[in-house]
Amino acid sequence: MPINNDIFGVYKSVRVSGQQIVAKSVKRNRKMSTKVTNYLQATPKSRILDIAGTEDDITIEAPILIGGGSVVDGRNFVNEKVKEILRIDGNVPTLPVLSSAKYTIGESGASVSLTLKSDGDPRISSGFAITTDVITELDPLGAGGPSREAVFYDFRAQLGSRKYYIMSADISLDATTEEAYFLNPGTWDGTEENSYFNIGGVGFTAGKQFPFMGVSSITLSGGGKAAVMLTPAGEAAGLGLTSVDVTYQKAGETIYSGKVTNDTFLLEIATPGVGTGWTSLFQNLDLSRAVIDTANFSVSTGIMTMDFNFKCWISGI
Amino acid sequence: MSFPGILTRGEFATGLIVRSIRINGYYMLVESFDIHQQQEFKSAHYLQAGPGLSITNIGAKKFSGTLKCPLRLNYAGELDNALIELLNHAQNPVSTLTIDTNHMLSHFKLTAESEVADDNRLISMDSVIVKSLTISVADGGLASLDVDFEGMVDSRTDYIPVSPTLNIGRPISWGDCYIYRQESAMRTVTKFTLKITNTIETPVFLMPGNLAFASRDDQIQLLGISAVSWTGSFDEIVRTGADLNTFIHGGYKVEDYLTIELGPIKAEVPVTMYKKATMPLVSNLLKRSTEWEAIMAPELPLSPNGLFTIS
Repeated sequence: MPINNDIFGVYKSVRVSGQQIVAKSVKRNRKMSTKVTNYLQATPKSRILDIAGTEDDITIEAPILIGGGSVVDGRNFVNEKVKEILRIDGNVPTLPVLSSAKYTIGESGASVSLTLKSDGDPRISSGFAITTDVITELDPLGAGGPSREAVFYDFRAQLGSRKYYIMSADISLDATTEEAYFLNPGTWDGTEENSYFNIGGVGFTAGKQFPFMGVSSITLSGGGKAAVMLTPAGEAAGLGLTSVDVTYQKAGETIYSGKVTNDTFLLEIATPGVGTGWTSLFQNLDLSRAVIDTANFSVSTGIMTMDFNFKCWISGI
Repeated sequence: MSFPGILTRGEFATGLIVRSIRINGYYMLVESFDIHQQQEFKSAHYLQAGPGLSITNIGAKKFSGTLKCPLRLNYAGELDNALIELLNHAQNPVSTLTIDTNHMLSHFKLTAESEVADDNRLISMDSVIVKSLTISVADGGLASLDVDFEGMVDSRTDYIPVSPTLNIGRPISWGDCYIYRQESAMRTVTKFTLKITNTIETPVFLMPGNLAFASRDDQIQLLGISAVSWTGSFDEIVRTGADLNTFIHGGYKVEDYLTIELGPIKAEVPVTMYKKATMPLVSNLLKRSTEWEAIMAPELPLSPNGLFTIS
């Protein structure tokens, strides 16, 4: 029997909104809400189905890469989607729209778990595609060089007042999406084409079960785990007692983490040849102001750790 | 000179083949030394339009490996200084241990962004910890020492060249050893082991927010010792009528002073926790095996001479 890799599809790549992305796994779940409704209808048989709008969710597990693959990895894709949401550099939103991006950064690697939403319209194929297109950026002889997964030494971090002994960080970028359905417009003349509109560069369909989708807010929050030192001088004695751990507020003031020491919130990834070599993980969002709102101190026979959570103001640009 | 080797040009790593090592500055003979800088690669395939391995994952690097050597005495019956350093470090693992060799090249910079043969140097392994140390003696043989290490380079300093400072001597053998405890002379021991186990944690962290790009480091960043245990075992030949009051039925023995002597090395355990002795019934000599572990004050391994005293 000849070699046939078609059903394994090992030679496959993912393209979302026209952009290639290196992924570990991808799921696309579509659903059309359908339920049987019984009325006073003189029979127990299902005579009426209540068919509503469609849902189209895409989830992608994508690594964060250093080298040539850094332009087709998870964080680059998120940055492009945020550009669309904020209409930076003339970008306009395209489906699927970013719903959430959860970053996991630790000793052994870094990845992004993406959730995207689309309208489920089968006439639009460019939003999500599995292809055999080669990802040329992964060629180790290409311009970006060999690719590798980003690991602990590729990130520098300052979460609140802590910049040393941070063991891991988990960050969530969440976009609140809302869906709306429109009745057919009054000028409808019976043809499908006339129900498709393009306003401000964004197309949508009226009179169909494929929703209009909007992004109403972006939030960024997260947490981390840091090791805690107990030296012979007993530095750990003050844990949980000062604003070092939780950014307590003062009457009439807004205190952000690091305000006392002029430190800012920082999460950067190594980018050789660009500026200082470090660039923000979230290129289009200024996250330099944050508060630490949780500090959980845990003591065992192993490493003492502090789990903490933070929330960022998103400013600038 | 063209024979037996090429001595007319520099051979920085393999010149005169001095394969022994230096422990805390002291020369030491070894049977084998297999400690290297090691780094885990955990590469994976992704949805990437082809089956080729395109993306690597390069983890943290550290020194790890094993050393095997005889317990050597010099002509005056003294233990080699290097062995004294090693035993003292093993029982007090928060003390400093540095290893130098003439041959173990290593690399300090970020592996992921360096050319593979650039910047190799003979660097002093200046932050090494004994993970386990086992002394064993069996059936009329020599005392052997097996040591597992883990460690890192703390400061990038050049190694101290190892040159032989040999004097005559011999390895400790069965005839140099004694084992006894408070309640028994233990006259029929035919084999024993003594093991120190130091539980080590080697965490890594994200780089601090003010770190310069060029200062990134892919080594483990700290060595921590979270637990220390001293354990061992001995086999005794059971002679008729001799075992009634020496059989160990398990449990604590306070002020037991289990003592093992290997020439000038004396290991003494005041409080011992014994497992129940076992003795399979077989057609040849009956051997009773007993395992033990030392119970000690929590702070004892933080000071020298908790287990060994060396005369």
